[in-house]
Amino acid sequence: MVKKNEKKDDTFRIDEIREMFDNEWVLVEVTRLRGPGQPSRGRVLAHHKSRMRIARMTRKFHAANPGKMSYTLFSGEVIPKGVVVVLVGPQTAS
Amino acid sequence: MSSLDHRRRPDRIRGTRKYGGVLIVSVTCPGPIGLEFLVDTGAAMTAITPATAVALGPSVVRPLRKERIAPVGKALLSAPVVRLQSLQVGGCEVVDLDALILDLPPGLHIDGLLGVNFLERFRMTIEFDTATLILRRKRGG
Repeated sequence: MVKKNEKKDDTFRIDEIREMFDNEWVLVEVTRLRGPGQPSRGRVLAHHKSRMRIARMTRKFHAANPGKMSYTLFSGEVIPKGVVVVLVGPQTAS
Repeated sequence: MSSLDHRRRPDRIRGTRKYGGVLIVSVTCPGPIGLEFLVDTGAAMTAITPATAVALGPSVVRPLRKERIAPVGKALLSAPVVRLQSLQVGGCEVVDLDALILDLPPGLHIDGLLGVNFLERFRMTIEFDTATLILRRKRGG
């Protein structure tokens, strides 16, 4: 039970956040680091299937909150096991 | 180039080996942190995906120029070049770094390629057995 005047902690560990969603991009406001550039804990700001939509939200977040840190993660299978990556050239270039 | 400090001690950046063994390291730009970049000594220039460019904001949306690039096994093509305010890997930072905007394979959830125009600012070693990128600052750097 949350007591009156007790602030609810809405932050989670990054690995917990990864488990909350399925095959979505998740935008997190970073509240704690475990090292330089290594987020360990944060607050979920948005989640969506579209990487570009989350990217636009990231831009808006930083425009409104200069100095804050964000982290975007993908919660799902990154690439099938056994698939080897060799970059033979960009897919497209605009 | 500027760095966060002027130590001569090498910076050991622990990454992860994914996708059959390539090295992925965590990169920080002003604002977004923990961007995943593939260390690519075969790429002359650092590259970011269009989504990363959008996330980084208006400063990188407007291209400086187009660069002709020669991808392996494909015809020459041109890609926009933007200037990143800074890019930091571990304690090593490069300011005003030019980067291509390139689409990377959609199944490959990385944010960019750490290319030679970043890596050449340092004396670089890759330890594949420990998934570590080692960057030593050059004398006078």
